[in-house]
Amino acid sequence: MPNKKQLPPKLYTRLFEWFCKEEYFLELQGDLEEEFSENLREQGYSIAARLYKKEVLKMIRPSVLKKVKLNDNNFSAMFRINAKLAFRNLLKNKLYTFINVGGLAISLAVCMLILLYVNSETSYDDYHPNKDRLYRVALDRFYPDHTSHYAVTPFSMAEQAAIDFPEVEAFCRIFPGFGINVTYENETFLENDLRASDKNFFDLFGIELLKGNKTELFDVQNAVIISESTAIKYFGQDEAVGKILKSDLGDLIVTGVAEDTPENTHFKFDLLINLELLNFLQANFVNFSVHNYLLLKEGVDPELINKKYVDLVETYAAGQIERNQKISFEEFKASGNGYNYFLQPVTDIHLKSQLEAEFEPNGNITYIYIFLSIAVFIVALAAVNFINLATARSTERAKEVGIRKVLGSEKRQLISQFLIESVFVSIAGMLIAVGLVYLITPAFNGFTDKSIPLSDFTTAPNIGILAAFSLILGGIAGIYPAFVLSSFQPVVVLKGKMIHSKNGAWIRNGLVVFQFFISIVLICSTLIVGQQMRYMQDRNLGFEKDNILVIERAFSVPDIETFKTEVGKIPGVNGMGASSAMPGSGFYFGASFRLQGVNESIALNCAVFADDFQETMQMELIAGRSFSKEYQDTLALILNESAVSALGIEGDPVGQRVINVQGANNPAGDAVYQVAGVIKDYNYKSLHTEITPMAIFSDESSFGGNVANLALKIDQNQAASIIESVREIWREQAPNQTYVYSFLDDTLLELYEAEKKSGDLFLVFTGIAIWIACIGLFGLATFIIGSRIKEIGVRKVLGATSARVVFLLMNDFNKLIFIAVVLAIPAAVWVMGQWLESFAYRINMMDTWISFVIGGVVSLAVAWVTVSYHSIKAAMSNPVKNLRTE
Amino acid sequence: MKGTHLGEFQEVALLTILVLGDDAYGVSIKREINKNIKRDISRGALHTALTRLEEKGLLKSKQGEANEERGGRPKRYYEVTNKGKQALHDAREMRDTLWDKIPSIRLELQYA
Repeated sequence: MPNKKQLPPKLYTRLFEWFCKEEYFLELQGDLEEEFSENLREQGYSIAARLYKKEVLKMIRPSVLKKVKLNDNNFSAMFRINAKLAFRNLLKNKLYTFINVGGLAISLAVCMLILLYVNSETSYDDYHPNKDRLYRVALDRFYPDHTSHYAVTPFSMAEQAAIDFPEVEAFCRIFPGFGINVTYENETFLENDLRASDKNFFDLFGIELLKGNKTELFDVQNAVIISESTAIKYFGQDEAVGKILKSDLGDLIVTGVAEDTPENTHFKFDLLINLELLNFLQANFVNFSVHNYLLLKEGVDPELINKKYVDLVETYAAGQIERNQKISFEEFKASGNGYNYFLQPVTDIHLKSQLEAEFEPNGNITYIYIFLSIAVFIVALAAVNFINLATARSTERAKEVGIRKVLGSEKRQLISQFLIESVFVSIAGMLIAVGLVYLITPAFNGFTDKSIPLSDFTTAPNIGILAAFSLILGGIAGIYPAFVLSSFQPVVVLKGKMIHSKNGAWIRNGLVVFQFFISIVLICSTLIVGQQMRYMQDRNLGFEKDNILVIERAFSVPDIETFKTEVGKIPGVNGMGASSAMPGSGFYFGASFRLQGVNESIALNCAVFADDFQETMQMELIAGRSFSKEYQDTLALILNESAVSALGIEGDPVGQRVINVQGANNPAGDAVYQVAGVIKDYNYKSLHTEITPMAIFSDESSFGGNVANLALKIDQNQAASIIESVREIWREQAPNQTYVYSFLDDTLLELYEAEKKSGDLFLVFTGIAIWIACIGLFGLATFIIGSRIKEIGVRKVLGATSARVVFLLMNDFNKLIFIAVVLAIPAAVWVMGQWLESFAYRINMMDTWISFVIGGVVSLAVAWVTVSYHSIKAAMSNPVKNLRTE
Repeated sequence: MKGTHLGEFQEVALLTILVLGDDAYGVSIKREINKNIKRDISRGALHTALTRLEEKGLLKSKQGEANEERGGRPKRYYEVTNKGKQALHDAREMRDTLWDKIPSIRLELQYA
């Protein structure tokens, strides 16, 4: 690292040059640099740079600072007087000051929180070395009737690319893992964050190894690297390396301790085992099992690799597919099947990747854009209020301005006074906002499930940005009132004539429209989000989701039948059934099927049901029967409606023969199944995806070993006691296994957690935006009514009723709000359309019309309440008082 | 009186410049002061003192050579004027007078 690390921090040098008197600069800068290079030699760059910064900051003192250049030598005196005047004015109008400072503080605080959030979301996977060259292999899998997008890809996809493509520097595979029980000294924990990887994991990913030798980590097959907190959990302060953990996978020897996975990573691990230990993972090109990562060489375009993958599929996967499907690869493609492998930059995964089998639910870039625009709008609203309120007060302050002008104040002085006032307000707002952020952050972290440390943000540049921002905001917000007020003709205002409201009317009207536009868009969006959430919760998913208690990992019980008998005796348990996958977040394996007599086979999602599961879940059977004790179900199959049509079954499906084609799932050879029943399509995945064809095996079939979840239909009132009773039975029958249970409706809600949270955030933002808009309106009403006070007086004298006058005043605002509604509807439709896109099952935009009605009415009502305060006051007042001045 | 009055720090600065002789410029003065009075003063604070002293005519300065270490910027050498030396003498004299007037018994350190 040559030059840069030998020069003092440039920013600070510039800063110094900027504020230092010219005649001293050379000498002082020379001294600073001399000291810097001495420190650099003796203590290294970081200390030298820190000392340098400190010295520069300490240079800020009167003897060094440039004199502010002004033609007017009295500037500092003027500044002091103006500051004093501004301060007094602000104190005198406590209500305005409070509204203004408060509005600004809250909107800035919201803005800062959003920026903190956005920053933490966009910093995902930023810490990997070579992150700009590191990609994950993802897959678009085309089926004849739909396309699935997978984050997991076949085991050999990265390895073969590394062999065949010279552009690839390295590869690494990560197997997403499963829950295992781990025992150390008689204490057993269920570990869910288990991953398996290739040896070079710590070279490709930026996670630091704290203990252990990087090159020898995976020298033994049963090696495990554990995270720091896992090490503490098992071994406390003792040395972890070399210890042996007992697990479902056999003895694992700890060869290293890694730092806890940083929060902003698309995957986390507590235990990382050697991929070689999982011997079921074997070279193949069709079975999606691992996350494949590629490190490309410098300057390689990922598009190039995407193109090369087409040939790779042709060369290596086609044969396997042909053997499995019994048709040529050409025929396979012709029938609408296809594989499109593509590379995703690792830094894009968190926000831009929404594939099946992601490590964890990812964020969504749409939300980032939405939140960022909200941040901008809220600050814009607050700035608009500044302008409005200051302009509004001009009616009250016109006389002050007139008198000061007559007494010889120059326009420049008046402008500076108003500017100083508004900068005061913005700085005060900023300071309060920082305090608010400080107070809110813990709650916000809890809400968003993050741990954003505030300390990351209190750096010198950020503080500088905040300071500069508040100055600029104060300046911009102050300019308009400053110029309007200072341009008053003293003679006119002193004679008692208020400024005409026509002055800059279009700006003010525009601002009102803008404020209401934002508020209405937010109100409508919030309502639509709410409608969509309710729709998802109330939607008939095709199965009973309430009152279902799920006992997970039921296969851990040695004798499941005895267990079921015991559980069945618990009062309040009204039924039970086991399945390999509970609807919602369950895992569905894929297998290829073809109808007997048809050559073409298609892949279906598969699950395994035990007897009674369909009845327990109240899934509707359309034809045939369900699995049951009375039948031998080894070769019986249940299809969902989509599968019936996907397989091309015509006529009565029951009794049809369907062939499970030889493949990764049944290497033994083709197996002929008979359709026993057809189940109505139910949402077996989240509502983000559509229902796709599905085949259900019986637990008596060769796939039946793993019916992991036991669903109990229970009486909700006895839920707590049932959970405890099951725990007792579990403890007796499986003393060394962890008892894990959940409620199905909770699990399903978790699928929409991100949407729910953004809905709640929307609600908060909407509240704030409406509040800010009201403040603006309040200020504006003050102004407009103030300028029409004479007109009101005249009307009343001529016989207009108070009600008539109020109506007249309101009408002005109604027009503006109407325009805002007209503009807001298309904007909200567009934004929400984008959002709804992410759901396979969504409300129709036309059905949301009520949201727009409510949005319009609410904003109108809010405006009326705000305006009527002033209108009624003005209309009720004695006209004589208002007219007497002339 | 006011024109020649020396603050404590100013006095230290003047004395340090005299100690350094021909080599008295910003960095060396600061280093020497930090060494002697065990206090970490900043270059900014020193600058303020030197400017004051120069304004009072107790110091004079001239521009010196530049070198690579300083980013090619010139040094400014300081020299105590006769007036400055006089002020130091005065300050010392004033102190000595007062010291002499203190009855010695009051200077005993108390360890009670």
